Amino acid sequence: MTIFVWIIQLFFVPALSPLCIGIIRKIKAKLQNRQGANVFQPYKDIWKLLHKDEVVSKDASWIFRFTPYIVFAVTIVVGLSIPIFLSRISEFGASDILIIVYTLAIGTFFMALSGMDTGSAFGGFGSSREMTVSALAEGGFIFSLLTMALLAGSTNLFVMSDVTRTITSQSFLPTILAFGGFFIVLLAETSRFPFDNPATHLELTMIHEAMILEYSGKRLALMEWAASNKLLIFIILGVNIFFPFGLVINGGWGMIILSIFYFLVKIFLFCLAIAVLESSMAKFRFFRLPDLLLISFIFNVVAIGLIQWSR
Amino acid sequence: MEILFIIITLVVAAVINLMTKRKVIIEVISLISSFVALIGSIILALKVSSSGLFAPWSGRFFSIDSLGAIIILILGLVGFATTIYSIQYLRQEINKDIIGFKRFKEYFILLNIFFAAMFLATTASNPIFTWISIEGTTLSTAFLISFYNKPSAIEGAWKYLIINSIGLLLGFFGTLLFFTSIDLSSVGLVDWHSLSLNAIHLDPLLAKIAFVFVLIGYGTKVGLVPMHTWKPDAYSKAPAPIGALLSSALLPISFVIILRYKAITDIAVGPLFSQKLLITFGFLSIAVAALIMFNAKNYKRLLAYSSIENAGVMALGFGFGGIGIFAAVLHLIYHSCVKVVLFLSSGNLLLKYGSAKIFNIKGALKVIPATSIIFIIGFLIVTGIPPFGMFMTKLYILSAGMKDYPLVSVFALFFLVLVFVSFLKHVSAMFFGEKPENIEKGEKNIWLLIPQISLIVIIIILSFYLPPFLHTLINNVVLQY
Amino acid sequence: MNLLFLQFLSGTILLLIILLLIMKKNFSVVFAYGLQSLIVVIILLNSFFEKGGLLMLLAILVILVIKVILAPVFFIRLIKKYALSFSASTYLSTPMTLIVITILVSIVHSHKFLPLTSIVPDHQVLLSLSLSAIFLSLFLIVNRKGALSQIIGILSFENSIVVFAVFANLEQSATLQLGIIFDIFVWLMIATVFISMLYKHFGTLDVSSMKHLTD
Repeated sequence: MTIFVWIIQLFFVPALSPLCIGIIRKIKAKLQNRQGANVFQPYKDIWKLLHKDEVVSKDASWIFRFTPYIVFAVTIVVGLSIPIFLSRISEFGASDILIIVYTLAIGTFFMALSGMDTGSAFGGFGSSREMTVSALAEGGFIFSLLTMALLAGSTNLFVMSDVTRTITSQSFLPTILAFGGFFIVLLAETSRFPFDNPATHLELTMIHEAMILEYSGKRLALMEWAASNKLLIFIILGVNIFFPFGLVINGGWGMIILSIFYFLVKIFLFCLAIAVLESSMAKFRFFRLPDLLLISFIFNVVAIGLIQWSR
Repeated sequence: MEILFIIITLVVAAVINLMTKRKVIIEVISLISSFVALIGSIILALKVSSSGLFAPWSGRFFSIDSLGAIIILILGLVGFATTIYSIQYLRQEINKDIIGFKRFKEYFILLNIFFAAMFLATTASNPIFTWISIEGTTLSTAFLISFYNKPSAIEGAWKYLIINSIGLLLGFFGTLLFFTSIDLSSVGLVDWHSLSLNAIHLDPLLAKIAFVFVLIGYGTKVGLVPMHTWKPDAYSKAPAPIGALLSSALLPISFVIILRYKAITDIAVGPLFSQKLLITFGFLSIAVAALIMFNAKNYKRLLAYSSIENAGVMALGFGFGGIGIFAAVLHLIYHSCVKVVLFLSSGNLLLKYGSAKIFNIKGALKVIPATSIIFIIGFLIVTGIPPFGMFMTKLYILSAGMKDYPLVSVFALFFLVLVFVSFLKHVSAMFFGEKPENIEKGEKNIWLLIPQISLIVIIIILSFYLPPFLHTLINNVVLQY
Repeated sequence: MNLLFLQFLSGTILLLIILLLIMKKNFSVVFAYGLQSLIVVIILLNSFFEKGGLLMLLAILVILVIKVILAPVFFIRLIKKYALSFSASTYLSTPMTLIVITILVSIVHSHKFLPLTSIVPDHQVLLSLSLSAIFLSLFLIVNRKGALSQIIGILSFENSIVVFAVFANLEQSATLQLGIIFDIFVWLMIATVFISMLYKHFGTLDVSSMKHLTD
């Protein structure tokens, strides 16, 4: 049975992530009184892109050519090692907090390099902005996961989600605060509002889009897919580390189906929250973003302080 | 009974001023009410000096001890003097078209309410009620400070309002902390007396924190450094009589409240803590005031800094203890009288020269000789030149401190000398020298001078001879605090 | 009412003050203040149910009317009249403000203030919360630049003191409560008039524009 679970875990994130993007777009459209595209449109987009011709600039080096594969592989690996609907698979070494954070950082690193690789100005400033946001978000990211790790007594994600199920009222406040910090980092790393507008066509307002501006065809498909994978990974982390109700340790097929169901409901709620947030606020100007990330960091530090307090 | 009479008279006067439309009625009514207040306060002081604590209706609403009696006396005297001056001063301003009838009426209404609130604050027996009355004084003077409706006046009044409200709320918090010693469900209205009776139940650390809050809170009203920032702005922008009242009446009242809390704290923690605090704040006030005074450019702000410095001296006196307390109380009385003299004379200067900057006043001795002489005498008194009384009080205070805090006394002496030098520099710039061309000679009106002259006479008499009832009162104060 | 509910209420008051410190729109500031006054009235009502007395009920009603209804109405009228939708900025940026808030709250909960917070040992958490509310209100007054924010800061300061008094069993008799609220009412009127005068003369409510008075 473990083989089955492994296979599901392997394919879950890439299979479901375009659906998440589709749901978010659909909800935003409905809120704007439009019909919006089909929920499965992102799948069709990826299919279309995979069959298109590619144009690669002759100034591009091997970084440009290999980055999409690296970024996509990173998201698969991370997707494999986070708790999705089972709260324990086995003692998988890649489920540690720091490994997760910095594996994702490998992807960001290569994406930033590839943005500068072709020598276009837009890619350059996209990379620099992305690096600023990433550097500041890293503190918030690690500290929010650290809070939960301190509460659970281990940095293994599976252990954390297991222990957090039995939450007490003492650790309620730190969890909420750490979740607040984590949510801000989620928005930052996945290029949603208020950090970046994923649907913008104006290059001067882009952060993430600017770096993938030069890609086309297969590689563009991989980059877009990887971006949606990253979104789903963050949502899964948020859902299962901070609100791991419904996760099951070991059980029969019935329990697993039920936990998958809970899980899908939680993902949907998250997508709903992101969509509503995007429809109700404007993108911040770039100089306000460091303030916001610093606030996320402070939330997490306060959460850690509160843990010590209630002990 | 008398207290109620005074307060009711003042309130009624305010109401009549509100309703009437004729200038003369307003002036007469205000004059009568302040005169009644003066007579009443003298009677009360005599009563307290002869029979101790005065508490009609068994102290449920009002109670006056010896310190309160002295303050009421000062209040009545100063109030009467400033009312006489205000009438003439405002007449002059109306003649010059600076203000109109509406402002005139507003002034006297608020003045009477201000007096009533101050009397209430001194005589109330419940600390919370005292707090409410002092808030009342803040509220009634806010509009008096922004009287001339210029941007700088409004700015001064706004700073005054905000800083004083914060200070009073801090003082309120300190008051509440003092109340923890009493079980409130059993007693109806708490008064000062029962607070001091129950003071031994207070947790010492709590008493210390509470006293710090009270000192900072009411110290804002007194104008101790570093809570003094509103003083120069408010005093310089208010009309001269209001500045006089703020400095000579409101300052002692707030100080008295701090002293009452000091007495309670001393029962709980011993006298050393509050003494040290008072000495620190007092010394800081003297030092900062002396240093800023040197560069003052506006003579009303100069007088404000002088108030800050004198408040510091009083705090030092009460902090040093022993003969320092006697001297500090005397200093209080002298300071109130002489500040009125100085402020009212500065009002004359303003009327004559139309500017409040020292730079613009030259040769005043030739232009308005009587006012100038009065101002110079006032300056000599306030900086502590013999043979006037303040010299003795400062000497006593400094000598009281020499034994335990010699360094503080020496440095305080240095700063007091600095005050004299700065003041002298400005006075000689203003009064001696040639008069400017376009200012005409001659005083405006005799009534603008009589209040000051009478107060100077009183100070001179008091410097040499203390009437017995006053002596008894001050002795009682020393015993109590 | 049980302790946990009171804890929740005072926690909300604290949260509201924190929000007051970072919010940018004047409307939300006024609304937060109205909400805070409502919670204070609820806490007072709670103590009334425990002690009774008709005069107390009257005092609570007056407080309700003045603080929860009249004060926000005054302010909203002011905002509408002078079109002050956005309040002036703060002296410290938002992250620094949050850091100072954390420092202040942690100091209050530390040992230094133990004598204050153990006046009534049962209510220690409540007293700590209201004490931190007091300090945060003071920080509000200093940090924000608009005159309207300063007024609301002072009013919320007074609210926190009242809450502290209730929790420390230091509540005053009804007549004194009436006196205090009358004072606050007159203060409110005067402050409103002053704001109109300020706006007329300076053209803005930004306190840092008032620099006329120097030596």
